[in-house]
Amino acid sequence: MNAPAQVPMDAVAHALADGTRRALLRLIRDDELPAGELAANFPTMSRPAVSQHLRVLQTAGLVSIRPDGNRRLYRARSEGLTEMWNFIEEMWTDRLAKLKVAAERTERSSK
Amino acid sequence: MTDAAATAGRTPTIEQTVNIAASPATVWSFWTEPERLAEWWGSDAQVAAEPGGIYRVAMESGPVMVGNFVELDPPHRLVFTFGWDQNAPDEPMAPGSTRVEVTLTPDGDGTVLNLRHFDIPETHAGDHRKGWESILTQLVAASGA
Repeated sequence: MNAPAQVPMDAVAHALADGTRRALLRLIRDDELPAGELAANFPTMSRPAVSQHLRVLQTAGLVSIRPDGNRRLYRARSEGLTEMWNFIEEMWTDRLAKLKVAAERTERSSK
Repeated sequence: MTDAAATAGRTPTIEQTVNIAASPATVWSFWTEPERLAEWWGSDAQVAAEPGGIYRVAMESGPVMVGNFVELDPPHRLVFTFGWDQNAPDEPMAPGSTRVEVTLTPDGDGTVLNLRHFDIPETHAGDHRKGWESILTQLVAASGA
């Protein structure tokens, strides 16, 4: 189960803004872990609360989930960050092309 | 913050160059005049083109971008901060957290526009572990956690 192709960039930012979610990402940066094991790292937090954090990360495309028997294994997905970078790069490519057209049109009409 | 010193030797996160058949003065006006800025960047733009002045650009079906002008040297060089309006200070792309430098160089009757966008959180291609560590560290520093 992977992230949707188009993730709103503010969802990525929102997901990363929370300390618990950043801690979760650290745990699954190198290791694929089941939700139960992840929850055990947060003894003061309820299991549903941890699951909710994982859902936010998944919606933002920052974790991938692989079914393994009756468990679901979580892993950090670095493409989620690359997508933010790509979004901004594409924005500039697209907008600078429009700037070029607009500036050239103005220059021609002022001559 | 002095710009040349702050950014000298740093690797821009994103760099793009465009050749434009218009004078630097014309191209400059498209960065500093609200109605011209709205022609290419967003559907609505507010701009106070002076050091410390703010700009706010709403993209149709996209985020609202806000920032402050840091340096204006018309019609050669423009530096401004860049972020998304709705992001809290500890979130990536928070207002003020990234920086854009635009230089306009005369080229015959035209202009070479160079844009460099610094400090965007990124993963490093081919080394995703390092990418995560770098962004998580940046975020912890930003939030004071």
